[in-house]
Amino acid sequence: MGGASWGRSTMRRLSWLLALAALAGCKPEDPPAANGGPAAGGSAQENRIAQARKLLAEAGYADGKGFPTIEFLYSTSETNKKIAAALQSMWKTGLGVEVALVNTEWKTYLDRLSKMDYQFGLRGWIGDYNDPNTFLDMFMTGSGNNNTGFSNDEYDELIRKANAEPDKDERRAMLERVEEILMTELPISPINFYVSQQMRKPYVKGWHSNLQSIHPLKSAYREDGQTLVINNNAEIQTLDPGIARGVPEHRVQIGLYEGLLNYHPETSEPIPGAAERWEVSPDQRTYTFHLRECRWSDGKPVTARDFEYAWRRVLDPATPTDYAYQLFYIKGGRAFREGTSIDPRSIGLACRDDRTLVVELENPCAFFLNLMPFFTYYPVRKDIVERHGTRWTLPENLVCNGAFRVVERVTNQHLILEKNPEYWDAANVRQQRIKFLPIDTVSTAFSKYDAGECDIITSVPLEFIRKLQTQPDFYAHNYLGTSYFSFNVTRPPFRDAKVRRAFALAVDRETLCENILKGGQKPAYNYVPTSFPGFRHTRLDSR
Amino acid sequence: MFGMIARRLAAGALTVFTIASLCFFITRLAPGNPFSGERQLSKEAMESLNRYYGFDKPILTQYANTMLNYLQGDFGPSYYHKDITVHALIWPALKVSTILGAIAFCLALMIGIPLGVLGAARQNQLSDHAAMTVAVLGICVPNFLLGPLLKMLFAHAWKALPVDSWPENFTAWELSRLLMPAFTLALVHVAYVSRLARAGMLDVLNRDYIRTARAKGLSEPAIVLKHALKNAITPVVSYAGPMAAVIVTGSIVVEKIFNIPGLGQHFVKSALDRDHPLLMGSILVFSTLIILFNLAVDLAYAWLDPRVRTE
Amino acid sequence: MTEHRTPTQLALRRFRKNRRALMALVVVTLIGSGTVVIPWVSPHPYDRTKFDEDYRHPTPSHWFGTDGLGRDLMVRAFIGGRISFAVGFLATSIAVLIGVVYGATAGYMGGRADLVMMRIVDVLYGLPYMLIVIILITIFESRSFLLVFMALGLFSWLTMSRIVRGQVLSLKENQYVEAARALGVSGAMIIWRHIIPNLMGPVVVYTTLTVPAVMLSEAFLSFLGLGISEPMTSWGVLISEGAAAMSPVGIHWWLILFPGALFTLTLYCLNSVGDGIRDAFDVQQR
Repeated sequence: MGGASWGRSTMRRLSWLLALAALAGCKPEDPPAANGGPAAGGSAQENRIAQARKLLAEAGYADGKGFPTIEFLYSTSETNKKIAAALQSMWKTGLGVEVALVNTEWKTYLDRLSKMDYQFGLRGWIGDYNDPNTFLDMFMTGSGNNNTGFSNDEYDELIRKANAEPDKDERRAMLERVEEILMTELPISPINFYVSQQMRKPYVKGWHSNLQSIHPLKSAYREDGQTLVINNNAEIQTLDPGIARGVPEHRVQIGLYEGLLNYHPETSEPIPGAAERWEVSPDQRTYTFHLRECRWSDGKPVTARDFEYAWRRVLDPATPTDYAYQLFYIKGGRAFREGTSIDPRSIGLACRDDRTLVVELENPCAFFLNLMPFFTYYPVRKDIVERHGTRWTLPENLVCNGAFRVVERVTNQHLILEKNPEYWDAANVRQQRIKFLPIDTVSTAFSKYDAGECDIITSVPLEFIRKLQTQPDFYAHNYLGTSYFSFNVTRPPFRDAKVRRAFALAVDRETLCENILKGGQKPAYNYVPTSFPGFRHTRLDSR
Repeated sequence: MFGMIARRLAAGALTVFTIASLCFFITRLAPGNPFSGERQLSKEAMESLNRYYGFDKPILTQYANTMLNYLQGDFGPSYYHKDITVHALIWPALKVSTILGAIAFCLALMIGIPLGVLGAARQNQLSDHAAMTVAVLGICVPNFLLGPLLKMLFAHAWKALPVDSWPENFTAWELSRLLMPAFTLALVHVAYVSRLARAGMLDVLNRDYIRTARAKGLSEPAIVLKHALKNAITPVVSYAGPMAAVIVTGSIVVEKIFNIPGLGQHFVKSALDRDHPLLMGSILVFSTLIILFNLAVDLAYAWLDPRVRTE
Repeated sequence: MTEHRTPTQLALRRFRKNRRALMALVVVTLIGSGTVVIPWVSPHPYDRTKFDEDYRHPTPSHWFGTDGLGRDLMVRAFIGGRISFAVGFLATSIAVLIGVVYGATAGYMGGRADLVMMRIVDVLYGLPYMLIVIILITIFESRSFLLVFMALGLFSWLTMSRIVRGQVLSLKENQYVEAARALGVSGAMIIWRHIIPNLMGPVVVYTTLTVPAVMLSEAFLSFLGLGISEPMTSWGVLISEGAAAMSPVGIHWWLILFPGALFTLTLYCLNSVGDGIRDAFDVQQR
């Protein structure tokens, strides 16, 4: 009897202990100040850390003492988790500051960013076109992509002037100064430049890695003529070029439609597409495009009116698109879309005849030709849209002027394209059938690739990257984008520029790129990718 | 009988309507909106989208419009898959989930019942304990652990089966894609079915008419299979209803692991994308299935056990 | 003269005779203590990253191997158990509390009130549970993981209330209740002194079965990516990380095997304990 009750009370005590410990152990413990790995940045990084500590001390938080609790926000994903954990440990060892990590799913993350309900967080930006402006105009005052509270009049003014500046060197100097302001004020801290990682089978030809990771389908083919299977990483949202907005849509649409200009398959520079030649007026405000003779997949000719209709449709406030801003370079475009003007004739678009399109710009735009291959500028057939309404993009109704057309679309299973015989350059299109898969799990996509059921994948499992990098079918290429973290500069502690700079300097970018990302990414000490020739970048550690 | 069915269906319809209304408001509580993306929406884009989808109207008007549309069977286009209607998205997914669910259902019965019967026939011997341990493992190894383990063994290590996805055609290799997901779905139910079958069989084996059969000299297998089995599986039948509902609706994880384009994927993804029409459609399909399954179970019970019918 | 024993004491005695359940209790207690002790005594902190030691298979210095950031898996596996246990017990406590009160009230009050209350339960039953939890979590997750516990608990009380209500309905007709009512004892007092003590049996059984079910739900949510924030982890998070770490070119088997084994073992033991408790009470009720 005695023994039993002893056992019972011990059990009771043990279970209390368990419960208490379980509750107590829910807080993160203090990790010891041990190293987070060898500082691959070497002595340069040690200098940066010393400088960071000095700045932090000047701001009043010597050795991280008294620093308020802060949270680092990121959206849930394996890669982000690793980056955030690495950053957290770097700030701990370098500055002595404890940072709590908060991860939320994608929509909540976007919501918090747009409401500025965060202190600092992990972000990334991919350029829409090959010009520094796409990276810099997002931090203008009130820009929807800003989300930092950063506001600088000189910054805004310079961007406006640069976009209206016809002289290339003048413009470049202005943009260099803009980046200088950004790297001085540091509302954001760049981490690294992106690298696109792909695997493709050796029998796939005509598919080239390039800076914008744009792959015109018309030049890709399999040597043995079988169906080319590409994993698209997601199910496409729509085939309507005026409404589409994601990379998966772009990958498919580039095969279905052809803009006035195309992307060169190797360099992704603009080359003639539906337009065979064009003229630019001396004041760089008027572009005249001359279309070649080409047809839609139903035999009807491609006309300048198809382009005019498509662009007006995007600028129409009734169209539910979020890419209308890409057409604001056109005169009267913004005014019409925002409702300031209700006269469609105020938009600078006109067709001189069936095959001549005249475009008037709001201001000279140095990269306007780079925009022409972009999917928001694809042509759309008015009669098809009016006849079928919202069903016009279904395979049985859709007409295409690109190298391929859609034959089968089973949501969440596959999307099948076939060569479009009416395409003007069909003689040079060597692939007969292309199949897109919508697999969003990286490991699953890779398994399919390995089993030979998929020919091209555009993301690889990070867990095995070291091994995969040694394989000949692995391709890495610089990608026009920057991974960075941004601060909410309207609230302490990041209201103080010194604190921001300290956090930026304490990051060991070399270690992150070599030991965490392991994909050949380059550390980024400035925000605009270093691929623009002749551009003088200001580094964040240059002071 | 028909009065009872009619009453149950009416009550079920009311329940579905209540669920739909509740979900309508709950789904709009979550932060984030359906159209946010990496590139923030400008004001003009936001306004245009709100006008197009009717978000600028008061919430009760939106609710009334939505419910009226549902009553007419119109679920509208998905917010995410902008050119496909919810109906066109759910229907093929439902077919996939049903096929996979049916296979898992049959597997659960085909493995569970013999296992339970074996355990009962050889009560407390080694085979009984072995059978019951296998059964218990089915409850304790969750499907999101079992699935990857099966993949690891059969697909990656031994390369005996294809990794995942839905069959493209009817060849043996393609059809074998169904094996692992169906088994993963079925295992937990194998556990319950075998325990129920065993309990039911044990109960029957001790009854008088079985003793009479034995006294008459009938062989043991004949007794078990011919006389006892029918009555022993009554508890299994009553479990079959909820089992079917859970199999069809509980396949979210299995679909994710094995890349099956079923209804579960739409469920989770539409919640995370804030794709309200697709979310509501998925919810309604699930709720209706559950109600129908429960009704079917009650009907089966009434058919099996005449005593119940008098209620 | 036989010694007077309360039903609970009788049940406890029967339980102790059940070797399988006893063993299971010991094992789960060991695992539970492991979640407390091992992170204390381990030379590796659960959140120390070592970027050049990632994905190492088990070695004498790392008994369970390391994960993608070079962190020791053993200490992470056990500290993850804390979250799983905490969620399990906390959410179940909430479920028990709400379920018992709600079910007892409905059962005792009977009539119209009972009908309405049970109809509400039916509607809630029809709601796609996982979906609502996902939505609730996306609303609350960035605020506090505690609210996640509550969200899980909020859905487990339904069955509990049904069971309790059924019990109360039958207990209500007992003679001693009638006698108490005749004597003028208030309703609340009757519920408190006569009804609730006799509910203990099924409630305890159901509780021990709810704990593993809730742990399963938490793990499932973590698997979907809606779990606890870094650097803290849970078994669900570890299993989902392990599930991703296998491909045709390599299998980091330890990442899924060890957390999976711990999780399975815990669930098995909790279920066995629950079965044992049910058997112990069952005999008494016959």
